[in-house]
Amino acid sequence: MNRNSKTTTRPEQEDDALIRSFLSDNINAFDRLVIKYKDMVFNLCFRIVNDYDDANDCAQETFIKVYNSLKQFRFQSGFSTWLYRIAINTCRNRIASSGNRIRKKMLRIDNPGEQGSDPVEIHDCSFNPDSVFEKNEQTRIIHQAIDALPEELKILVVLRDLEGNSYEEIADITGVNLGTVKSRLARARHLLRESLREVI
Amino acid sequence: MKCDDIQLLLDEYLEGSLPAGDAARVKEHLKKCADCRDELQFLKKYMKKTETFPMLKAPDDFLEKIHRKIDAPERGTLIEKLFFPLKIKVPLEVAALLALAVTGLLLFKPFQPELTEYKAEKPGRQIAMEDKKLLQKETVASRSDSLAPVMGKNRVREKGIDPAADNKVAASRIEDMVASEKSVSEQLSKEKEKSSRGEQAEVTLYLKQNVLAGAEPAMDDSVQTRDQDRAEDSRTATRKSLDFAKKDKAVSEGAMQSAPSGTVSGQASIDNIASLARSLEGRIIKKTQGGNQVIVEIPRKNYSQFMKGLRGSWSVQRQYPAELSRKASKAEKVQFNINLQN
Repeated sequence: MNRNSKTTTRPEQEDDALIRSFLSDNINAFDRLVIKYKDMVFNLCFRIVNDYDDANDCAQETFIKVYNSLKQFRFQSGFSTWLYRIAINTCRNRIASSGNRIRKKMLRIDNPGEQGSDPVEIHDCSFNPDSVFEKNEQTRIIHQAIDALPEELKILVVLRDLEGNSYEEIADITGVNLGTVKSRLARARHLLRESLREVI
Repeated sequence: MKCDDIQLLLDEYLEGSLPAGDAARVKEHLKKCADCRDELQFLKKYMKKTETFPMLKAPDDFLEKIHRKIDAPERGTLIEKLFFPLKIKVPLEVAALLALAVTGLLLFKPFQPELTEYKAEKPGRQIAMEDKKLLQKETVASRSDSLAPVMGKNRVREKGIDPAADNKVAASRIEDMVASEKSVSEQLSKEKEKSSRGEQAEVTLYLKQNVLAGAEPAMDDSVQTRDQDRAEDSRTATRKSLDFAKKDKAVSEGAMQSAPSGTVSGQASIDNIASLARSLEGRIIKKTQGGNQVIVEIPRKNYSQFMKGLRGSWSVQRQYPAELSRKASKAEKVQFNINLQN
């Protein structure tokens, strides 16, 4: 998805110029960077954490981290690669810390009126991926299959198949070497093939 | 190439980014391998689907919220700061606590048993201990000796040692052991008896010199009365010179000395007490040179006489124990630890 268009529409020189402008106290330059990358970061977060609110929080936290640490940006790698790295780490932390919060979203109501009846569980109806993909059942199932992958494999699949990054970029973002990225992706696709056998 | 290697390249093969050589090898393999062909078909369909994945838009107030968060001071409860994310911070905190506990244990060693030795062993005890050690050594030796004939009969025969003689040696050793054990027990019982009888009592005194009496320390009753008479004589007479009085005292009291100011200096005081002790069949155990401490030993029978002598020249500030205990009263000798105060 957008695999070839990404590099042509986001020239790195423009990002570097905006960063330099921000470093010389032009706050508007940071706003322009946010506007330019907010959808990309938001989608990435949404595909990893699989929850709209969490994705929103993660995306905002990512930009706040960028704001606070942009002075340390060395211009050695592309800004988008750096941004991806921060966003993925933020999502990982969120996944690690949100276990209890997700469980809390499952409201448990015991009905004292009917003895012996099973307690009713009501799912918190905040914005979720099912409502995003409701028009296309097949897409929703694929998204669920990707979400069910182990975290490391899921991140690679999102970066490669949904965000359209090259293997080299993925290796740079995740800090995993190229061969491992390829073999892990092959394993992830094999798992997906197993789970999506009836759909595709 | 194996299927695993080919499947690593299928993605790039589909994309058309694979080098020509690798692409040809993949194509060749696909002709033969049905499983890899299935994998390729799956990838084609899967990629087509993922390309049509919907792109979400960030909320409209996204930038505003970021501005607000940047401008607002960093919030978050103390608990959140301390414990979240749980998976990272809790193990770190547990590790830190353990490290602290271990450091504390190493520093303060609260569970280590007391190793301080409060009292030096008495000579008798030392002898007993040495005897015990000797006994243990001998026991080990005798054991090895007694085992030797059993374990190494051949060796004994080779050396030409008579087993009967060996048995005799062993028997004599056992006798020695019994004798030494007896001596140890005897020594211990003697020691017990000694301690119960209480051969020596101990009294600690803190003395302060009487200013008036300091110049005229009494040795015993007779000496004291004689001195008093002489002093009276000297007062009633035409007040003889101070030098004469000094001379007189020196003659009458032997080793006793007096300072011209009417008080006796530290060394002189100790000497006075020492000579008093000697006159009562006592002995000096220790005295500090030019200091204010002296340890003397007096026969029990002369205890009250010695105390009386001391009180003539000194006022007793403190005494431990105030009176001799029943046990101490049976003692043959009394040790006085005397501390002089200015």
